[in-house]
Amino acid sequence: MIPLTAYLSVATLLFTIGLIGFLTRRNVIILFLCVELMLQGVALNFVAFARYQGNVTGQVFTLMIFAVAACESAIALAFILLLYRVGKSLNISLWQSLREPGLPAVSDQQSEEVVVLVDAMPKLPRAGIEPGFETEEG
Amino acid sequence: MSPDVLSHFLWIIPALNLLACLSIASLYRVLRSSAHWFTIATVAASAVLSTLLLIHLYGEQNEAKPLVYSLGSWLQIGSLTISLNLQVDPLTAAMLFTINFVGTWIAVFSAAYMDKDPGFARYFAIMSLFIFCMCGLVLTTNLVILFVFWEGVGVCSYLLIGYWIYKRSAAGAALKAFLVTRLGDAGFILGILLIWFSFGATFEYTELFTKVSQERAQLVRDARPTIPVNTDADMSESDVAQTRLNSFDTNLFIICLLLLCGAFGKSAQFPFHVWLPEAMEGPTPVSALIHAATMVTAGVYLIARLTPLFVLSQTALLVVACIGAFTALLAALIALTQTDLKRILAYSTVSQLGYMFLALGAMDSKLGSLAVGAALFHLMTHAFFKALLFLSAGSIMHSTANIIDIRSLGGLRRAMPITHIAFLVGALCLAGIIPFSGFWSKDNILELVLERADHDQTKFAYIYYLLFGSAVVTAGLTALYIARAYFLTFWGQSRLPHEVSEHVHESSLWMVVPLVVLSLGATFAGLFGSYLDVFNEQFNTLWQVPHASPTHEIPHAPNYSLIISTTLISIVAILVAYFMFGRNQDALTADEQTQPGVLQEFSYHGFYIDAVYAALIVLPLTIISKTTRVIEQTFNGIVNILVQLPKVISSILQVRALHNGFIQFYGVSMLLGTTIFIVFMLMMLRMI
Repeated sequence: MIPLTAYLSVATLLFTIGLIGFLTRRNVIILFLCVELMLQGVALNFVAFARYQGNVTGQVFTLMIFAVAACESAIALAFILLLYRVGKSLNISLWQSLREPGLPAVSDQQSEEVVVLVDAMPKLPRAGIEPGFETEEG
Repeated sequence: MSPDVLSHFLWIIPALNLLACLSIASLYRVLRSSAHWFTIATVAASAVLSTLLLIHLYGEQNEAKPLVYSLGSWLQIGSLTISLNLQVDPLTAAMLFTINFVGTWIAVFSAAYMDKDPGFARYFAIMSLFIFCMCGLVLTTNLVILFVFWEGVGVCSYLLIGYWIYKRSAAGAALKAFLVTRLGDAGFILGILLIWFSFGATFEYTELFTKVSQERAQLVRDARPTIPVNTDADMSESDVAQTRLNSFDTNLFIICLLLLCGAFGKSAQFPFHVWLPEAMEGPTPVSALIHAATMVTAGVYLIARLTPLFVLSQTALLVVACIGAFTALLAALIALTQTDLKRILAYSTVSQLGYMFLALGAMDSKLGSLAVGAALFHLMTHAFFKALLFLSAGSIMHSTANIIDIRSLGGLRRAMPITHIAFLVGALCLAGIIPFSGFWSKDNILELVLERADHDQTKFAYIYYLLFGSAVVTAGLTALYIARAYFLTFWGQSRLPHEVSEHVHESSLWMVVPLVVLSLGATFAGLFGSYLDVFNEQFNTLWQVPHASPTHEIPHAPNYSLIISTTLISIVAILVAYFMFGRNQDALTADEQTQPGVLQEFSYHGFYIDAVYAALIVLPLTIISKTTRVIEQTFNGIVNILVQLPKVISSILQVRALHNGFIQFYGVSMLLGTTIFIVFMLMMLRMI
């Protein structure tokens, strides 16, 4: 039987990957995926503990998390789509206008290449066409 | 034409008008300045169809059966069924004819009057909607549907009074009209609910009348012991029945009173009359259509329609008669000193509606159909001559660049001969001079009230004599104020500003033709109606209820001494007006400079009824709302201080820079915060 610690370490791994991704990447979609990853890490924790204690509450709660995550992803993707339409970019650092008045915006001078790389992430290709790396925006 | 074909007219007439409204509304951008063709065409077609219905119902010597057309049912909940039946009986046919015929000519007049107005198409769309609502109101056989159309008419009235929305006074007047009539309608809907509560879900007229009269007859039978009473037990039983009859009558009286609220609100009777003079802020053809000829008659129609209900409650009828006569007198007194021509006409409308209510109030089980006939006859003739008077006023306004103050008019009979004749005809009708229509219908009402007083056996007889006296006085006052308006407007020298008086001209053909047609109608309608005597015979069809059926015991012979005396009173009043205002107007204008008397002031300000309402209703509400505003602002201030608190703290601690709007920074903060929290908790646990 696989010990509980194994599950817990996988869950921690998932959560940490998600956390690091969320804090370092700049692509909104990636950020969103990272959040989902953290969520699944927590869900795995629930299931593991539930199994360990012979108690279904944790599994039921996991189902709840799935439902909430599904709703949340629908809303979040809609927001991302709208943000993209406005800014023509998926870079999160473009959206800082809710800061206190008078503060300078956080700029990404050092992570320039990261941004480029993020922007160069493969977009969904048209069917049958090999995904190429487009560098220009839009 | 066969009744089968005719019964289809019942839905075609409202449908045509609704069609015009919808097509103008949907083609608003395209139509612009040709929208009037839709309205004129549909109303004219409706007028033709209504005339055919009228001929069918009045033409046959034997009593024609009412035409019925069923559109299914509107709603069905449990035992409550609201059907969409349409029905035309003589009462409805007369109303339909009046609405559509007068409406047609007013639509034609409006086409010229509203020309070049930016809202031209909107005007005609609302006008069609109004005529649709009015047709629906008179066609339905159901109190609930009647209420729906009743409100529809109110909304159209609101839209048309406030047609020039950018005028503050017009917007205020529209709101006032809406709120005041709504106040009455609140009573109306309570009345409908009380009917539901007392008699079950019977909103169909005939069903309701039958049920009420049967229940009452049963109670009357119980209350009257058939065998000689010997024992105490029988005595108490009949006493109980008597008590039940009394409570039934009280209930019926309350129902009638609540329904009356609605009627008084719509028909601008005291104490709801204040909205009608203000409603003159709308375009003049609107005043002619809504606030003279058709909409305000809805209240009269309601009572006429519910005759079998009202006749069971003599107290309610006494209220109707008293309020009617009082309003007639009050409005005539106010009209005496008004200086705005349209306001004079508005108050005269209120006054004439008072006459109609007086006629309805004078009904009892014997005079029932005579009373409805007299009220409806006056309603029709009034629709003709009041529309005529208003359209003449509109023609004057169109020509004098909206100057309507009779102190600044004068001498218009040379510049506007046709308008002059039209106004004169209308004025003679209103004053009740033989052979113009107003004479016949007003005389009919006076005779009726006198007859009612004569054969009344109860202690109320003297009240009806009083009401008759007040009606005669009102007739004299009516002649006086309309003659004053006429002489000041059309006689003497022009008092218009120089730059306006040069341009005064007779109106275009579009405006003159309706004036001529309505003049002819106003002149001959009375003669025609009186000659045929149709209005007295045909209303027996209203009495399909067994227990309320009237017996025609009273021979209806003309009362010549009454005719001669009222005519004399009117002529004397006109002569007085001529010597005061017609002959020497220069002296009059000089006289205007002097201080007006107390009575004159009272009359000019409408007996300060508006001021009383302002003090009793508006002022307390204003005080309450101002107080609550102060309270609300106090709380708001406290909350605002609390809102400032975080700002102050943050500026003290210099943490504003943390709020940089960068999501990932927040993520890091959260992570750090949570970590610190967890570490702290662990340390706490370790310590414990």
